Amino acid sequence: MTLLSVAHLSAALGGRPVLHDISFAVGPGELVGLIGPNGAGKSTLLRAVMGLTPATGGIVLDGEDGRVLTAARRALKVAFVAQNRDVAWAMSVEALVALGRLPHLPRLSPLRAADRAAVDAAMRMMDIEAYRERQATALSGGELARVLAARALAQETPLLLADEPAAGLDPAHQISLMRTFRSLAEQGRSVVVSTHDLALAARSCTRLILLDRGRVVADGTPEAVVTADNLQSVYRVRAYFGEVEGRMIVLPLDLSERT
Amino acid sequence: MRDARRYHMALGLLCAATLILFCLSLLVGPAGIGFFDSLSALFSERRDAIALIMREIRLPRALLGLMVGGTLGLSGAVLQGYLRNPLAEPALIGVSASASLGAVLAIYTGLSTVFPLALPLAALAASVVAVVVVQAMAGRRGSVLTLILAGVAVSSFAGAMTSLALNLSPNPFAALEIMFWMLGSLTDRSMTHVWLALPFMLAGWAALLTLGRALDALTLGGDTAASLGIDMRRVQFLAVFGTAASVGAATAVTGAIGFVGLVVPHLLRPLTGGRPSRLLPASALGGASVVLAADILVRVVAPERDLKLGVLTAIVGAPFFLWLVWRERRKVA
Repeated sequence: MTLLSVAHLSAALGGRPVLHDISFAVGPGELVGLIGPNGAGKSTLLRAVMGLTPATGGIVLDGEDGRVLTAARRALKVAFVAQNRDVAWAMSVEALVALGRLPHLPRLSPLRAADRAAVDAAMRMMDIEAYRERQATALSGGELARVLAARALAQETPLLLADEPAAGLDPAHQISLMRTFRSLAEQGRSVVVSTHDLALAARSCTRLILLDRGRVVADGTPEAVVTADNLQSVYRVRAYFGEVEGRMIVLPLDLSERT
Repeated sequence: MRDARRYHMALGLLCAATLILFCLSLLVGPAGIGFFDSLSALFSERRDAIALIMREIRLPRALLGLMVGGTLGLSGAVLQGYLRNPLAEPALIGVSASASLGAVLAIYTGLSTVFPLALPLAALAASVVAVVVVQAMAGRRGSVLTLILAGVAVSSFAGAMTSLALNLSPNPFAALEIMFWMLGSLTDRSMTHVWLALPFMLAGWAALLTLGRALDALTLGGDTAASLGIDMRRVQFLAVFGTAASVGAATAVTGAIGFVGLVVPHLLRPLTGGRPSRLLPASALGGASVVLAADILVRVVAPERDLKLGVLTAIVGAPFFLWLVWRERRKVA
């Protein structure tokens, strides 16, 4: 059983091909890290799955063809944390997180008890309850990132896609964000996050997909994907590898000499 | 929750202000008619001069103030929310300038002297053409930037054609009439104008008022809004056609009244907790209050001179807007 399956997906931006024949499937219980250098196609892949950028190939979301799914139905299956963190109006944090309930609300209905519970739970998970009344435009970058992640959590979808949700977070909140995603996965949902933090991805994700120039270069356990060879050929860096408390540690050290 | 209480109070106050200003608008005029006289004349079967003034002059004027003000406030709030920009206003999509052009052409050709309703009808027709052009340019994928650029182009073209009509106008009286009409006013409008504008406005309001949730979601940008189940093409269609229908009709019967659609949403936004959905009804009531108040003011300030409403809203609105910008700047610094 899979919650997301992508088959032979290709996409172009402004006439330039960005994704070439990408295929993978994600099942319940998986926390998938999407890694790759700048311009590898991570964001485009996530946006294509969300139907935000035109692409050819097959996308199946929770058993339904992604290309014919209406926006309203897709919103019940998959939540998305966009890379763009621009908030237009000075809205309170609570009101912003509550936007995640829009797909569940009947027409003209105010938030119901279940919606409020979901909003509160999402705020608790992202440790932003203390900001409830504050205006989102007056938050720091990292605080806002957590608010936007909470907004997606409040949507309570089986599938969650997040584009660099950990960027700008302090170490404690990075760890707790990934731990939250991990526990969602353990409840039988699927989470796909893109990130540049190899160390964080390697120690928190159940699986990594390495993209390079629009192609899947490696797909598997962190140990199988984050290898010296892959880092050298894709990222052109040399890294320190170690193990602490049974978990893999990777630390990019320097540019690799071989070119 | 404090937010919600403050918002409901603001909405109540705006309702009361609109109601009071509407009644005041019925009571102010060169013919000094007493309070009870005027109201009883409105609701009785009498056929004397007072009843005539009330029913044929003041009632349509007050009703149009209410309708046009509500339209400008509502469409301004929707466009600011849709474009995610506090500087957006109804005139941005080219409808106002095109409606003006239609009206000017009706005056220029002399059609409006032969058949008075030709003026608003020509204005409506021109705004329909404008919106079809703008919507066709923006295309089905609905880029916001293309929409704005198309609006600017249509506005400039309509403005140039209006200037050409002035340039070539057959006599100074026609030129004067064109100039006066373009200043925007509620003077000497009849119930026919109300009935002409009302269906378009109702259709426009209905389209605009369905957009509350979509505009809330758009606070986080187009991608997030789409991921929340908002059909962005539908939103663009409703925003453009709702604005075109209501603002086109408003401009057709009163001429261009500036600054209301820009300033009112901006001013009321803090009272709505930054939520575009709450801003829609608040801004509609606020716009109605401002236009009614301004229309009362032109009658009180210069009863003999026929001061134009559009002139007053710009004279008061522009410095006020500068003050708002000044305050914002201090907040940022």
